Amino acid sequence: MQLRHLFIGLIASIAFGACGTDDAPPIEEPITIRSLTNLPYAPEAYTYKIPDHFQELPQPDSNIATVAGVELGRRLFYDPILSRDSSISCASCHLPASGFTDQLASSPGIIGEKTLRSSMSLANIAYQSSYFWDGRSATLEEQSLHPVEDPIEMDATWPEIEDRLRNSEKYNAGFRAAFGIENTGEIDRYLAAKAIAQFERAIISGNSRYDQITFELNGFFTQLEEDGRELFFTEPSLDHPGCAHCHNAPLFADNRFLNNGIDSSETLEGFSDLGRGAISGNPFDNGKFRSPSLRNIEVTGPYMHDGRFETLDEVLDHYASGGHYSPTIDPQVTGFPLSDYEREAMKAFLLTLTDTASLTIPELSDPG
Amino acid sequence: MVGFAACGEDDIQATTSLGSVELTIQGELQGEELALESNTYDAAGAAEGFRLTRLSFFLSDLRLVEVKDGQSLETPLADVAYFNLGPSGLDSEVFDTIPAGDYTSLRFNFGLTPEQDMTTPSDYATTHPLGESAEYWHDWESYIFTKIEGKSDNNADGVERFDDSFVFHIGVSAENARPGEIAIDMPVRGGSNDLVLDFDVATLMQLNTANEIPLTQFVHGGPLTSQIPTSAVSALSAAEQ
Repeated sequence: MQLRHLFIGLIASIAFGACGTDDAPPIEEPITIRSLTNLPYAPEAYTYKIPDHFQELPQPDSNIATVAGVELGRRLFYDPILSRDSSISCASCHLPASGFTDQLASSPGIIGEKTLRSSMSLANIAYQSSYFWDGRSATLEEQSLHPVEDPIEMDATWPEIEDRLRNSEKYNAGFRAAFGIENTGEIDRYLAAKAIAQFERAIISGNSRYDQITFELNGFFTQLEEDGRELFFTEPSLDHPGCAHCHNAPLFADNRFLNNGIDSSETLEGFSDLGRGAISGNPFDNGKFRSPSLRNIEVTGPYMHDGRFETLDEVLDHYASGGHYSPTIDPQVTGFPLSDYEREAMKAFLLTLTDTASLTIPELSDPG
Repeated sequence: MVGFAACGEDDIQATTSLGSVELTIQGELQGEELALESNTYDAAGAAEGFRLTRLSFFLSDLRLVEVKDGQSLETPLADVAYFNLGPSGLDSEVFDTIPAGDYTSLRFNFGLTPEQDMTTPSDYATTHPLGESAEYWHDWESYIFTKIEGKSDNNADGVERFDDSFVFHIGVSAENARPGEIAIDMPVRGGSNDLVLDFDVATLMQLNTANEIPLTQFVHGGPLTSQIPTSAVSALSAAEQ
């Protein structure tokens, strides 16, 4: 393998060297390929730490996690090496203490330009069946490729990032340990994305007070929390919120795209952000966005895909009002009476979803 | 060579005659193939029509039936299948390793068996039909067997505005699972085989009867929840080939 790459590099060098005219394209440096077979490769399966009340964590057969793979992904996640000017990393918009969000309505990229939508929480992201607010990526591996080349976010190109990683001794060893590659020429964006995906699947939140009380029978809700829980879960009706229909336990999300009535439009084309419709091409998907997980909602505001609501009070007021009419508003968004007590109860229950431990797990933190 | 030689002729015959069956549910309403969200349909009480936005359901204990020597023999097709009709009103599931036979009916439960309904999504992989947590209602400790959702325009004001909602979510197997049997004509001789069932939404929602299901309600209990599963079984029939 190593010899084959060296040979290709040599041929490329000769071929470009044959062009001697001034207007010829610039001569590219042949890639220096180094063997990695002298570095250790001893794959050890990684066991994701999931609570008993969660389903078996799905991971693709083509990217089964290893200890070294998760660790490599962790380093890549926190390393600004992935951005054009090495100023921001994945973690710049997905901070552990903020439930892997940045608590901003929109996130600044490398030149300060703001993203269209807010950064989503990564908690339990392994259980999603598509990624981004509009579900444009079908796999976590595919999703991981996009921010690097997004001109508003990291504004790099994968070829230049691949070169950086191939020229980094630290990463050479990491890719070798994670994937058993034999030379630096095999380091590419796809392996980087695989490693990041392996790490992100380890971001699990399932040990909040809600989990402890409900699934481990450890402790009790206060009366206020219990009343909020009942409002959240009990069958919805015209006078009952029924939040769980779109934010069902245990993930408090449902992997679907819904229009929750935050934008007003009399026509299918009248939305400022088409959301899912821009991806599916179905105009009846216009104005629909992923129903996100409410886990750690205490620290993941502002809320909605564009962060328009600063507080949970604003969120509850919106749903209680029944939202704004548009042709694609979900039939379950109908409004309901909300007394001051019920408002406080709902908020009290939502705060039981804070999983403090998940915000500070050492194995998920910046390796430095 | 040694491996093949160890198999008897009957074993080879049995293996090669296994086939797959793709079961497709095609919604239809008022003489047309169903289109979710985009098409408007008529109903009393909805002055300017209604639209369906969601139609999903579980079938369980699916069995193919053939008659041999005057006896009815059942071949298991699947323990459970989940159908969530898309924008064009259809969804399908493929079931493998179906033995050769001349199948004349499909038996099933609309909804889940009591045993299945006692489980939770955490008992299954996310890819399993019962692993879909959005279809499980924790406070009932039950799956939601059927979801029928839509919007209607109840004002005869000449302006198309679907601002009334109806949501029917039905679960709890002891009360709301219903057995059904549909006559089919499906010989299986290996390979891929199609079985298409029409799902008549007018029958499901009793739109042609005086006992009409209202289009402005959220329904999770009460008499209506027992009407819908019963009518759902009647609403399914084999499509004309």
